[in-house]
Amino acid sequence: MIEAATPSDTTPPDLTREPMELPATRPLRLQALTRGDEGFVLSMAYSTQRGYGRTHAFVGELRIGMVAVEVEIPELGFAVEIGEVELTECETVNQFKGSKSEPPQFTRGYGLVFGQSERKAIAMSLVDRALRWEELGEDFTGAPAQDEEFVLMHCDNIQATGFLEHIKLPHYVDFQAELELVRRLRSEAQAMQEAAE
Amino acid sequence: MTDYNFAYLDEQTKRMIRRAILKGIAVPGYQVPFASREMPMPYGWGTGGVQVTAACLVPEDKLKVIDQGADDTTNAVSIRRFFQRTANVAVTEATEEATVIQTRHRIPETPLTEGQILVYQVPIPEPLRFLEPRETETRKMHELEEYGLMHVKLYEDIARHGQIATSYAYPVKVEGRYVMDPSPIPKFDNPKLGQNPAIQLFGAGREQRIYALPPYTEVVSLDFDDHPFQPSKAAHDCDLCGAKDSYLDEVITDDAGGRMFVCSDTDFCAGRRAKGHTGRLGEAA
Ligand SMILES: [Zn+2]
Repeated sequence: MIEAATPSDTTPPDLTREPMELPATRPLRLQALTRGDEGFVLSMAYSTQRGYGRTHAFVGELRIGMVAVEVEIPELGFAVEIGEVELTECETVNQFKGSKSEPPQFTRGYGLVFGQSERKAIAMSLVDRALRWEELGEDFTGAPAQDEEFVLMHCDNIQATGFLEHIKLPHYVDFQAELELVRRLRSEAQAMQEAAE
Repeated sequence: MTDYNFAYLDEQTKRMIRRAILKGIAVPGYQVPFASREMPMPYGWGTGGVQVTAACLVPEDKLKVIDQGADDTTNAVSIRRFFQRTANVAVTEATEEATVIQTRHRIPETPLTEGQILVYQVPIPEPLRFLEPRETETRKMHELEEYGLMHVKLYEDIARHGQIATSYAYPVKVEGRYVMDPSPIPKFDNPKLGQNPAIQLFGAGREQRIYALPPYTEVVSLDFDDHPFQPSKAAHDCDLCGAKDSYLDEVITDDAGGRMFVCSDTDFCAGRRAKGHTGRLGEAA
């Protein structure tokens, strides 16, 4: 009745050590969503509830717990446990009437996020499920939450904040180039208009 | 914490970045994906350039950092201090003395020489991005050398405005193969990209791309036979040093519309003044 989640021993790619490759594998997508901005992920999830790539989610599991954090020190070549961190995990069970390639069954969405944040964990599960349209043989309806490149490339708020705030830096060289261009275009347009009169 | 690995990054990371740089040099103009690291500065503030510089620096280097052509701008000052602190390298403002120059938005006026490395900070490495936002599509277009979209855009500019309406980050073609974004330098600087004796490296941290121009690479600004590429600048001389051929900033000096034009390259301007050149408002040094 529910899709099989086949265990795998394959080492997943590490988003912090390899560049994002598109199309992304599910482990890479999940890593990006975990790191993603809560507001962004929430809005994407909410949009699926309102029909933009509907996900029909029920909460199957929602739990909060502590896990150990290990850091691998490149110069040392081994991992050191540096502490514990709180995580919230969510697994959704999603209605699915089947597709050309898959029988009717319940499908899964998964969320794992830092801290006590049921909202982000559930939201992540919905977005994960929406992004799985291709492997489940669903149609791409053009919904933003189904659009892997759009979601994954814009969910990181450290990247977004930095790039947004960089426009505080001086840009007067580019501005000067643009200023000269606009002046030239305007004077030529004016000359043409005067010639026409 | 007071101790850093030389130039901040760990050696494995530097190796990874050097591999990307070498690949970039081997395939000029091709955007090499690399596993950009989080740096102690915001994305968009030169994290790509800083990682490339960190991977290139050796203790004997002399580093120059400029933003908008100036050594004393906030981003340039911060990055220069960062490498003074983490690599303890010598720094300079003199273009000809520097072995590595990191830049945002300009190529120095003083011609570069063999053995120098010019590192560009790149916000959007993809020249086709604003014609096609999807990376999955633009990578295919580069693979297939399908640049029709870019030519259509330039042609539409001419049809609408009588000229190509791009004044900075003007696209170039490298060795007749890859169309490349030269970073947001004014198109005035484009002619300096080609046949340059220095190594030119481009780092985009947030977008995780490195690309390169080895010395003496052929770099052609895109244009049409009947609308040839024209570098442009303000039609003035520098008011401080009198230079006729340097890129100028326009500075408003009062509330009555008074303005002056000065070299954006502060080292170039100061050097000319030191040699006794003066402009309309300049005083002999
Ligand atoms: Zn000057």
